[in-house]
Amino acid sequence: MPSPAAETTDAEAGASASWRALGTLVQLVVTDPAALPAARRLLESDLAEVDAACSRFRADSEIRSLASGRQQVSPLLAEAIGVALRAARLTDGDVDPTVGAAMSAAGYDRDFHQVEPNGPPLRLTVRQVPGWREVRLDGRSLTLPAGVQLDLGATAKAWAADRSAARIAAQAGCGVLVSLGGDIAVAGPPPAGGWRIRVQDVTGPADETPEGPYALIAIRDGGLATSSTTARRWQRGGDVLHHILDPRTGLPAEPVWRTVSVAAGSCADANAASTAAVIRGRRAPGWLTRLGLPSRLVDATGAVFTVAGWPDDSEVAQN
Amino acid sequence: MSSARRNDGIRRAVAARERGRAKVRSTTTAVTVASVAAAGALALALPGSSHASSTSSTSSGSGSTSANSGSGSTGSGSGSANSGSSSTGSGSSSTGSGSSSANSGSGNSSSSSGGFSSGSSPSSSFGGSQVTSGGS
Repeated sequence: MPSPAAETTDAEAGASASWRALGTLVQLVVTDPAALPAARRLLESDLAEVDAACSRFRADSEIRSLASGRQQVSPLLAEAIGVALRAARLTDGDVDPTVGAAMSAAGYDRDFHQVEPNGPPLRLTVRQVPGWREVRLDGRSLTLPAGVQLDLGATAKAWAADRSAARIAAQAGCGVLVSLGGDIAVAGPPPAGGWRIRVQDVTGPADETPEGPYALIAIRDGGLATSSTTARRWQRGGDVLHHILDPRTGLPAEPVWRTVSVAAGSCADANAASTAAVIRGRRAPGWLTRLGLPSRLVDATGAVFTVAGWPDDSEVAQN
Repeated sequence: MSSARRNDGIRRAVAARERGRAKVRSTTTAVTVASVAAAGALALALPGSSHASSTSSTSSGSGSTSANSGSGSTGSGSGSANSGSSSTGSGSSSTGSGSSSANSGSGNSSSSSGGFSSGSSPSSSFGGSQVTSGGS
């Protein structure tokens, strides 16, 4: 369990803070230590707004109030849904925001820490989700078909990281890194040598040695995202389920890759690609290569594959 | 229901849809989404990938083997080893139908193929990390 809150200052690396929000670990780093308090206030405020708009686990959230048919939504929710539809389009529907009902049926219907880690067997129906093409967004006008429940869990954190990193950098005038559960966006001038990131199976504190293979990389712009079937898992009837659903079946994706990390021009795009790669399975390396997105894929045995310029020498040898 | 039978059911349902049949008939199956860790050995040569290193570790389940030797980057022809081959990676061209809404945020990016934005490539790093990126 990550420490609930921590702040550090380092003359070379800037200042950082970490805490929990949106059900995950938040990490904020700024190159100007004096900017940290204001940056943290802005990030906390941003995340509270995102949670109120996008959480499907809050009875009072805007997304929970959506009904079928045409309706006006807030600018923030419209932006979040727009990002989710863009991810669906870019991934040919692999990352689909209409998986809400399927996710609930699989047992992930509340904040993850409230999901029972073990439970009795479930019976699920193999059925394609309604599909993102059924959702219409025109400015703030949203049209939902009957029965569609949106779930922005696959894209909202990454978009929120992009949004807040840009806003904080504009306000503070320094380099900023925002990580929401390992979905990382950077903005402003980077520190010398870039932002140093350890890529691993499960996001955790930087000062704790991770389990499993890991790599040390640096990025200077854009975003980095990691999707993993080793996180957010639960069991029903002894079977392991995870949170990355294949929209074509409504069931957890086949775990060909346990972890995929992608670097892109934004965290939202990196996250769309990494999530889609988990769902695409063996087709993922070729797809990521054609896209030219530097990526690292770890298979179920722990073997690591890299494509499209991901630095091969970033892998840390294991004893 | 055995894992194999369930998987067959899933594959049939998916194949039926992809063949363009009207709608997938609902197929109820017991969830035996078995062992997240048992994806089997993937020791085949993946298109466009360079095999960096490996360590069998953590993940629950079925002591899968096939781990490769480890130590350092074995990757053939680093970086640009992504030449071609791509026999697998089937179509699914994410061409995206153009148009519309929201851009994803921090706009410091250029466009890569498929409509994704791209940034500068990551480099390897040494020493301590500032943050971590993993599943959550």
